Amino acid sequence: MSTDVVTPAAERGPEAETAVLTVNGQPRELQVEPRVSLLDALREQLGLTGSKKGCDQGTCGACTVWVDGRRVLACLTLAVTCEGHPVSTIEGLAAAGDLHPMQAAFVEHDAFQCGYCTPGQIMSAVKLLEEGHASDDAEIAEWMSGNICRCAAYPNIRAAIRTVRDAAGGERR
Amino acid sequence: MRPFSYARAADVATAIALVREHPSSAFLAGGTTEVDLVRQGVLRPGLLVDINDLPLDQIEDLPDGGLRIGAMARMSDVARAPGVVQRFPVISQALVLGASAQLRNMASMGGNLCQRVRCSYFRDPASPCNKRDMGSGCSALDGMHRGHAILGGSEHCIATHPSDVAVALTALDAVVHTTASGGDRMIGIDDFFLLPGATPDREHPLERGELITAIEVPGWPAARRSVYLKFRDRQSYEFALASVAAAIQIQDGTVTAVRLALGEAALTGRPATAASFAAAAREELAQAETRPMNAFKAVLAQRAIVRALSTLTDGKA
Amino acid sequence: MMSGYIGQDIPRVEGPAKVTGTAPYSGEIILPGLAHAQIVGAQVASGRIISIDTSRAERAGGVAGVLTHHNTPKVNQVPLVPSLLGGPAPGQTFFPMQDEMICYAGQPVAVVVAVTLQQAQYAASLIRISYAETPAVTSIEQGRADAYDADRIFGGLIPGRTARGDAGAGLAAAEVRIDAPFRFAANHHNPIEMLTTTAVWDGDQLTLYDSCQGIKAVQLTVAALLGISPSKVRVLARFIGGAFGCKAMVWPHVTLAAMAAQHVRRPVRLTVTRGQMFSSCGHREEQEQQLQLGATRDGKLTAIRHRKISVTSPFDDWAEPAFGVASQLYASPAYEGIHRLVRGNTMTPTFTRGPGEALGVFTLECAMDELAAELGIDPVELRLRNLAGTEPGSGHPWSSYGLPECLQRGAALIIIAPLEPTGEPVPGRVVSPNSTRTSRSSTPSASAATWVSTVGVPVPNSWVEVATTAVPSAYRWARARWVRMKNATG
Repeated sequence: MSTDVVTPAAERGPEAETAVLTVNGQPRELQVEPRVSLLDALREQLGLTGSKKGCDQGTCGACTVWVDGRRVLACLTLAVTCEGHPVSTIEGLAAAGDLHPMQAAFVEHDAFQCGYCTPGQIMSAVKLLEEGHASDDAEIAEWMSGNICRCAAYPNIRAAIRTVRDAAGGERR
Repeated sequence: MRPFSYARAADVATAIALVREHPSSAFLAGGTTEVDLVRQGVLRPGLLVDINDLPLDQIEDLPDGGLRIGAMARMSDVARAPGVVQRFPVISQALVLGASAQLRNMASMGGNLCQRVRCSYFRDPASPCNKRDMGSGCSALDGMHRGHAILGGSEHCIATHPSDVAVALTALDAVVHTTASGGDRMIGIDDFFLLPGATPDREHPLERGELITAIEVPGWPAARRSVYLKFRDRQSYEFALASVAAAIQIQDGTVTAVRLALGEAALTGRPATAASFAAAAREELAQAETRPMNAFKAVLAQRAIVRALSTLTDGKA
Repeated sequence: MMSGYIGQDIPRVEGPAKVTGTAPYSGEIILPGLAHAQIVGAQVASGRIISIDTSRAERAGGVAGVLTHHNTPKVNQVPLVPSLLGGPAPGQTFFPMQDEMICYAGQPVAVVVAVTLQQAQYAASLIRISYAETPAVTSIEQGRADAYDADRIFGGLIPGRTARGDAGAGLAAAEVRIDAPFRFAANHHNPIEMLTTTAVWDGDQLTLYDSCQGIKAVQLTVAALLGISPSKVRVLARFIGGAFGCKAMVWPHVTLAAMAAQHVRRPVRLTVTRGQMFSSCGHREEQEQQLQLGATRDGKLTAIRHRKISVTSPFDDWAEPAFGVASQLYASPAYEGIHRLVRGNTMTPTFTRGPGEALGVFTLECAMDELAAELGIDPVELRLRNLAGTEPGSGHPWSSYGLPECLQRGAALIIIAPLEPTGEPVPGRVVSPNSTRTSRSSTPSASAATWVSTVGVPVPNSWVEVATTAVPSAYRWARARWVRMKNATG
């Protein structure tokens, strides 16, 4: 069964109905109402609590995930809109027991304190490098401005990003 | 949030038919406004029609040097499109200075134009708000209005439109293309954003079931020399207190053409000097109506205009 | 061996858990049969509930129960005592939903429990409440006329007045006087993880998964409120998403979660929304401070008069104590610090990042800078001339005293530069934490035109409004100063 099936114009809801989302490469079936955010679907129904709810209104970035390979906010994304659009979360960044270079760099540079913004920061930072917006600290700060850290680990977050950028031979000014 | 139904439209005709037929329905594009305001209880659709599959995301270079930007093109994609960056830097700058990277990946250009105001009273269902409920009053007039409008407001509503790229598109005389069951039409950008007047609930002339399909920007070589400046309390990820989009054409030290977001300034034919810029800016802001908390904006806006034009003419754009 | 790690650069042991999103925070505990609770907060700041209609909410899909003041259990009266004393520590001497009275905007007036989070949130919006609203006082300005000198503050731990010598006489005898007012907006902690409590009853045994800064305080407070033995209350808090002081005292939502779980006979998770965070866990109070300094021409302080006025709740005389360090820092023979309070319709304020001292020392230091300008003395030199070899109040020797060295090293490391002319000083100018103005000076000198430069550093919580005093015409500068270490990164 293809997970790319898109239901044409047929209305669904408001009751919960079956939706199949591809999350971290795996098809996941869930019963979900249209009003359920991707964030709540991940956390409450799929047990993927790595993506965090810091505001539920698109201002903090703690819920940053990837949809179709782009960094987006899960709190303002409806889960049903993700059918046919693969979702990646922090849990899928590396195989169990391994650390993605960005995750390792965050640990090495102590780029967190409470850790609650951290998954969102990391998901955002990985895409930042792919997008090519990490040439210097000012650009990193600007293009990471959608991720708030109330513990103010920003200097260390930037250091972690620089480390991964440089290890990958990234452009720097 | 309240329960609602959902339908994903595979084509434009289905999308507009669905919305037209369901009185309390709305289009769902990036969702950055819609999902937020439904969750706040400000918007109450019974049906959301997902238009993200519609083939409206092209960014085309037109023969006259202009652009045709599909309504479903994402802010981030438009911002980095080569034609935009080279020929209309003001658009690219306005886009990347708006929102955050994540939001720019989600938000569509059409949705950007249709986004709702940031007035905190509008966004709070418990507060009197003429935009939500005409006649209930405007809480901002004597409330917290630091970020509210000094131009274009009325006694019923002083909320500002938060879009940055709308300012740039206004400066460039863009045209909004729409389609509805009755056919297609074009709406000049100046006519797209309605002043609140006595009808603050009407923000644009779109009818229910009328879908923006594209935004066209006319070709104009001078737009290569354009800039968007945004002034706000924080360095990033915040709405503007004042902003200006400007493009200028100079020949032998004289301004031959200029576009500002506030419309044609009294600058054409004048020398391209800071003094002219300041005089034009003063004229633009002469009609400003300020209130105690936002009076500073009149000065800020004038200086923003001067700064934008000076930036372009000093070659620091 | 443990000693091998001291002084080493060691990665956090919980680092891998945090970067992989596997660290379990309190709102992420999955329990069988878990239901979700949503608080409804009062829409008026003062008054009473005339009627509360929960019928639509109760009929809404998935709703397991609704609590209001009609059916919420009565709690014991447990007074506010700062949690650092090790006992029950409610953040305010008040528990909501005990009667129809409204004391502050956002005060919980109902709790809705439903099977899913969305159902709870939506049902909460269906509750219809009508209020008889009465005039509220929520700012210093509104309540200034009725302000009173506090006898004791900070949960009764600290006297409202700190004094030595005769400040009035000292000021009168001074050759130079400074009068510096400061105004601060209220600050809210807003850690990125909202308050969240998951409550599970097993018979009469209660387990709480709570995002808190002290599990003992939570245990004792909930037990005291509910009138049960602390041995019946178990609290777990494995990972906390920040607090900054707002999760040290125990706020009503914790016990409300326990009550909700009891009411619906299933585990309940209650998470406060971001908007509700502003009315759920205290804050740093709106305050004004006024510094009057008197000194001799050669810079010796004769008196410091330090006044603070701030808003507190209807229930408690709370102020963050501003005068602890400020009264001890300099060898002024006279010091008088007075906390005045305005009774307002707010929560009781609470510990917030450097409670009291952060602002109390800031204002004193700003006033000292102004004194230095007035005297034409280098600001660091002025401090050195006024250091106290012993504790100024009691005369006790310091157990250790590195302040002179600290000042001198700081002066060497910190860029000392003249401020750029700012034009007319702007009364009440809001200073952005991110505003940056720097200019370099060749050498720090005793010149009166030498000032610490104004450079922005990230300040997590506060916006500072600073009112200028009458400024000597020769010097125009912005009042608020932030200092950047020369070697700082970023």
